[in-house]
Amino acid sequence: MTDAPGLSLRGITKTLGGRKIVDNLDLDVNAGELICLLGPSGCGKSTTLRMIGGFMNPDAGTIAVRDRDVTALSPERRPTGMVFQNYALWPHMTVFQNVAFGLQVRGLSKAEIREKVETAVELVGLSHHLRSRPGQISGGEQQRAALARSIVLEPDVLLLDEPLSNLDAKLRVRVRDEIREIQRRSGITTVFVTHDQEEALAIADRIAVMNAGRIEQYDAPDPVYRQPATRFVANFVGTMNFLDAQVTSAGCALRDGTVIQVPGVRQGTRVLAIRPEDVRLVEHGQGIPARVVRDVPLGHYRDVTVSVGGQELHAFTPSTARPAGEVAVVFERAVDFAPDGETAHV
Amino acid sequence: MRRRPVTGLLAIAPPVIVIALFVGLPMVSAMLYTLGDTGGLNSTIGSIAQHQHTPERGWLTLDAYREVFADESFRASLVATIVVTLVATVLVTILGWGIALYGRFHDGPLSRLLTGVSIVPMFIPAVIGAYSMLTFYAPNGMLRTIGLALGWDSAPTLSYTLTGVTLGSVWSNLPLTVLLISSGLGGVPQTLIDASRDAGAGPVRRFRKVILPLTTVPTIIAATFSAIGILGSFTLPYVLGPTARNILGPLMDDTYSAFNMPQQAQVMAVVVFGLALVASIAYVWANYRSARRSEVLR
Repeated sequence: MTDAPGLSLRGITKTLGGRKIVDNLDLDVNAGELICLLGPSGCGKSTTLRMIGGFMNPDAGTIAVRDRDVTALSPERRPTGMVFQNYALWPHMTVFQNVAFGLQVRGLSKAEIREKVETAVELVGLSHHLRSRPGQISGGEQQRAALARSIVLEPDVLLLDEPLSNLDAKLRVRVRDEIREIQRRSGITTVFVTHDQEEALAIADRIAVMNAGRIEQYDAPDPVYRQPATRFVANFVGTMNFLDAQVTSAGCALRDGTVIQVPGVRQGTRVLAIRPEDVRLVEHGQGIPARVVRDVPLGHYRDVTVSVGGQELHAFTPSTARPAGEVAVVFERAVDFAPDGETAHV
Repeated sequence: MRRRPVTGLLAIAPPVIVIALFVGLPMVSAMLYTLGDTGGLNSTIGSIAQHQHTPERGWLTLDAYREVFADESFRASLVATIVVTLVATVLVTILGWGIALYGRFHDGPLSRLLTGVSIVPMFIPAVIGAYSMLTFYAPNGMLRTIGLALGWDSAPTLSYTLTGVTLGSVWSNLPLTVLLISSGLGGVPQTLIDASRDAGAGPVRRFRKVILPLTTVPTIIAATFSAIGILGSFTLPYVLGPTARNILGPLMDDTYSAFNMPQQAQVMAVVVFGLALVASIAYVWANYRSARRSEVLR
């Protein structure tokens, strides 16, 4: 990775049907970096991707690839490659023809085309399906064929629009890892759009969490998860407990008056955000009194719902634990927000 | 639960009986009549018709076919029918493609107006349309009037010409063609077109390599429907076409009614049927291809 921006968005704005879909968005992606645009449906992530690819024009702002302004260029002339959500493989062409199409457009010789196509399909592990049509291969293979079709053109920026959403859970994890591996090997600057926070955490160098057309936080996966900048990020990425508290020098008073001690929390009316894995269940009397409401075994861990100070919260415990009845909890770590929700304090 | 096959057979029986009785039987009877069978169902028409050919020996004869094909007027009309059909089909397909493409990729008032106007002929009875065009193309019609006003003295008169029939056929077949091709185009996902743009393809290559191959089936179906419609058309060529060397519809009518030669008229009908059969091979092939493609994609 170098410090030169592979992609740079400045003040990008897009209004559709009178609604601001993308609102004055700035984003820098380092060359060779894979970033995720993460957010709920309608947050503007796909619109942003389509504007980077040239399929939509921004109302305002500029898009630069390697310091070259490409805002006015049509998709045909942009140094970007897009992998579409439904793969968009041409059904009347074989895998070879699909991958070769862009090279033919560029007027390469047959020998060059063959060599490049073979290299690309080998990279994605599809060499044995060169003569197959898209309808004859599986969803995962179609996804890889679409990836090969894009990377064979050696774009400066690779754009992936929820490429795993049509795959089943197991295949999604496998293909996700494959995409990451291929991206590392090819070193292409990549923007990956997803609404799946686990996917983003697993694959990205950095995550831009989007909400209502704006980026709420842009950081590496760990800080996004551990130090959410806003309440939206805290709520959207992973599971989070929120406890209303009145914080004084004596401690944090919960709704029912129970006072607990959470270090580093600012005074005043606050919302405490605590990850379920930071809620430790201990023997009754050894922490904040709590009562087990539900215990859901989820394979390798248990999701235990406990009632603390008149509010319910989740605790993830090892699958071997069997908590029941009256227990106590200890908060390992918390982030606090103002009740209106935006600024975090870790 | 598996239903007994008899229920299905009973359900399909009424339409099959109606078709067999009112389409199949008359068709077979007419074909036999062209081969000289004047008995049974053909006995009434056989007793009225003039210049009828019946077999001197055996059961059937091809004499009526020999007579019709020996007639220069018929041969000229046959050639005219084929030429008008081919030219009009090609023109209407190109025009339909243009309108459908514009409608697909431009969403604006002009696009809606163009699509709307192209559909209008569907709601105008053929005879009304034919007379309107006759008026438009006549020596004192609007085309020549405008031509003369603009100083074009030799503006053509297209009424009572095969060119007029061709243009009329394009007009009357445009709605169905536009609807079929638009529907086919609508079935091409935008992402497939976007993907070709992303790969760097310009408009021509996008059309040639992506859009056209994905809409081959509706295009063939539209062209087949147009061709069959033009082959069997009567009103338009009757009103708008020339007296002689017209397409076969009016000649068939003259032969049947004016000349009282139903056997020869039916020979011509069989020939038109044969031509339509050739056109329908493309239709059957397109449907087969479509079915195979959906099977592969399933």
